[in-house]
Amino acid sequence: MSTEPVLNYDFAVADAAEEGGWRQANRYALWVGRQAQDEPRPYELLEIRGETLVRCPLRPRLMHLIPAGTPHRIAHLFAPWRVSDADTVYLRYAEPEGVYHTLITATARAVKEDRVLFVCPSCGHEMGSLAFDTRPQGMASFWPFLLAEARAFNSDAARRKCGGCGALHPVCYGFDARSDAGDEAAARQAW
Amino acid sequence: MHAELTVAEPIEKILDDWDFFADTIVGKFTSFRPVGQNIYGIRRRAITRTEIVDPRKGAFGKFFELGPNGPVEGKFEPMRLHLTTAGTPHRVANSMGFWHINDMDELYLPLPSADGDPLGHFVVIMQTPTGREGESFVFYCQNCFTMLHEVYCPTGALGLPSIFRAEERAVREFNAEAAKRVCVECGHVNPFGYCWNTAKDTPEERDARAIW
Repeated sequence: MSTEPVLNYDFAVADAAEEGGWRQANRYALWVGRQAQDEPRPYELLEIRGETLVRCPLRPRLMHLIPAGTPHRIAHLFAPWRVSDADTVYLRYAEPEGVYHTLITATARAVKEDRVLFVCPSCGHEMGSLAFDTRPQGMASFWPFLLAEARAFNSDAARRKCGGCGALHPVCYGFDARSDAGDEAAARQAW
Repeated sequence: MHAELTVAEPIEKILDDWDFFADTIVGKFTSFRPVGQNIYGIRRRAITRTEIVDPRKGAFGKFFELGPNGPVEGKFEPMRLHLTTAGTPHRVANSMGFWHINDMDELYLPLPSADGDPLGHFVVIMQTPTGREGESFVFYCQNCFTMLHEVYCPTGALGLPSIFRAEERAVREFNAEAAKRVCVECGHVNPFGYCWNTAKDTPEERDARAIW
């Protein structure tokens, strides 16, 4: 006779925010972060829609869908940009102990890859992109890939020079601030 | 070259329904609404840090999931994220008068009422079924968990509205014959089923909603 419990996933968002990192809950990948109410550099969701850079307003409470294929990044959380085959839900909710940020993304048949995208902040020129095979490796493995590609980009002066306007692309950084090395921490503060 | 938008209003000219919680948008998610790869539901309920109260169903949160050893009771709690995995029979007391078996994961996140707003947001997200994916509406004997009745809905082929038709059909068929509610294994007489939507309740179903 089986003694297996019911398979489900249940956790307090406060605990997830404390522990950090991405969680895989069956087909969903989840991340929860929290910042102080008076954080001087609040996480800010940015998207590229067509030729327009859209800054998602810092509402105390919002639920926003980042459709599959939309280049996006969250200022002070990760840079460069991510483009995914998967829809991603972004939640922002201010509570007395701080402002929570949650990202939820599901794997589905349509989800095959995520991409790291470098875009010149000065002129919007695309400076390269790299594909990650999400299906076999899972969403959680994308973020180390992004960090590795960010570091490769940072260390290559030629790649950092924009082919459109000639500006030097700022230093990029990964998703987890605890992994910051060199000038990545300063870059995270800056943009 | 990028043109930046940095203020709240213009974003609505670029993106439709960009904030599902916005007062003008949230009503679209009162039931379920497919958007892209997921189906979303947002319930406006009185949610504190300790309890959830539905305006129509009262105290809310006790749920059951059926595992190898029988039903396991759980509770939706504010600021806790719960995911019911695909294929797990589950029901919510006083809200779902049947067991639901979904081919897709279902994710729940109750957020407490924000300052100045009497109602919080109870968020439900599930993947959009495609192809041969679907779900079942099932009745088990409350005593021995023998399956008594099932209506399967090929949601991936028929689309979201088919869910509600299948759910209502399951409830009506189960309630229509007294014999269906009597367990063929143990003889237990089971209560009436009822739909998720209270507006569909008959007097008997309203009574049943109060007890299970």
